[in-house]
Amino acid sequence: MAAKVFGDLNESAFPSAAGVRLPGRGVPSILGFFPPTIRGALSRLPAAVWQTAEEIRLRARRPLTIAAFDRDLWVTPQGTLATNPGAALQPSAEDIATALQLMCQGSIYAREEELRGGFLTLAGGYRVGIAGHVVADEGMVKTIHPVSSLAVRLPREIPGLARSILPFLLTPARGDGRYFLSTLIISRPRGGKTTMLRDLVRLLSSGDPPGGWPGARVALIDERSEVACSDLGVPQCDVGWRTDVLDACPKAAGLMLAIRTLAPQIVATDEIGTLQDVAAIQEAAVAGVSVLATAHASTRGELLRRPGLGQLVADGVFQRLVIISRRHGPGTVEAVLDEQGEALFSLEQAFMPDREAAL
Amino acid sequence: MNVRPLGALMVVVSSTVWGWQVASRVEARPRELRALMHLLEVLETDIAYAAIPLPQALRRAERTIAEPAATLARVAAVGLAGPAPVAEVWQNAIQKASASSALSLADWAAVRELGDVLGASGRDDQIRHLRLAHARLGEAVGPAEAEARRLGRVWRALGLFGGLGVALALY
Repeated sequence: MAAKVFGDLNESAFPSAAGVRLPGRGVPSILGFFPPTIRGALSRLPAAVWQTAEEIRLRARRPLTIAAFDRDLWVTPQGTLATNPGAALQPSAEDIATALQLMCQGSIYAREEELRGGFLTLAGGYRVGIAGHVVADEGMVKTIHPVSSLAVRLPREIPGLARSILPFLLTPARGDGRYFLSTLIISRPRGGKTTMLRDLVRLLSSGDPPGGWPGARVALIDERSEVACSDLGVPQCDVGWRTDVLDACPKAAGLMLAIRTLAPQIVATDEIGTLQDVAAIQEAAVAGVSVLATAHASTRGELLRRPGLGQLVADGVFQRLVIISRRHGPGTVEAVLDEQGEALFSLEQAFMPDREAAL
Repeated sequence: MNVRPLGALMVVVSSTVWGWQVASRVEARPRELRALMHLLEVLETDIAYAAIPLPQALRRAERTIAEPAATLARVAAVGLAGPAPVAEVWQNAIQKASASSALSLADWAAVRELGDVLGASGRDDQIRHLRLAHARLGEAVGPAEAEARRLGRVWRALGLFGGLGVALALY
């Protein structure tokens, strides 16, 4: 049966993606890691799809999927988008194995540690989540083999995304200048934390003269190479003029290393959560530098219930909490809170003051 | 002018050269087997101690090993930069390396089978596969050396005396 193709999923149906860009061309370079059938189908998709695509999902003997704007788009072998998942191209188990091999440069042994952690980071900042048969040893993941699912997250830069919140994250202008207040960005998974962090790092580093921020030395500890999208240690995304990147460096070790050796004014890192991360942040916070980090949580209450991280917030280590969501696309700022949890900015109040008053 | 002595000399020289060529191929076999073993040793070291990805490990190995292993490493390293899977790249590299090699199909079998597993598993597993292939090549070296000693002399003598025999018969 011929695939029924989405009538409205042509180029004009995709929202304007002004300011949104993927590293490189419209078609992401990650396609080079896929077997010919999958590469062929994906490369024939309309260019507009890539402007909004957030993930490519390959699952063995299940439909080839692109996630964009909270929708799953099914990709047919002809490179069109179908309404019926049954009409989509279904990668074989061998296709998945081949893609994984290509992603590892034919050297799975060289990426063993990452595979054990369930993800790979590729040149260009692509992060690939991995699922399949888990081989465990004494309760620990030894490896995942065979791999049956690959979730490729496409990095994106949205220059200016963080500009509106920057004033809330700075001390008032005084004689000795302005300082960046330690800030934690939180959201649910895929809320746009990394995109927000990347733009904030860029702004903090390069400066924002209209906003009265001259710029500062930033040390970015990019454990998963997702923020700076480094290739062989060289950032591929714009992370600012004064940013030093410790690429693929464990967060806890990197934070202290950066403070000791790079003399940063701000240290930034993505997705903190372990007790080691918390201890390192506590140490960094009393070392005279500001901390910028992200964490998984959708509200301050959730954050306070997280072991370790909750205590960090309760102790006021982070003077600002930025809550973001996907309400109007990834990176929508829901609220900016101070260390007491008081809202300095709230999307509800900003756009629905009457509703707030009624409540 | 009598051309017979000249013709006889040409027959003897040609036959001797042919004998030397065959003998050289027979004698090259153990040397080439050892070169392949050397390649596997270098790969094992790079994988075991530094987990160096195959393309880089092959490029490093190419600089230190003899033919035909050097061609195998070079062609495979170039192929791995493209979108083809390792097994396909490896078979293609063997095809190129074996074109001017003294090794038989049976000699290449151990290296050929390695292509199905090379790079496709963890470090410990890779080391096991490399050692297995190394051992299989090692088993072939002893007989190949004995054969080279025995048949090398035989082919040289056969070339020379065969040529002389033919020349005498034609004279």
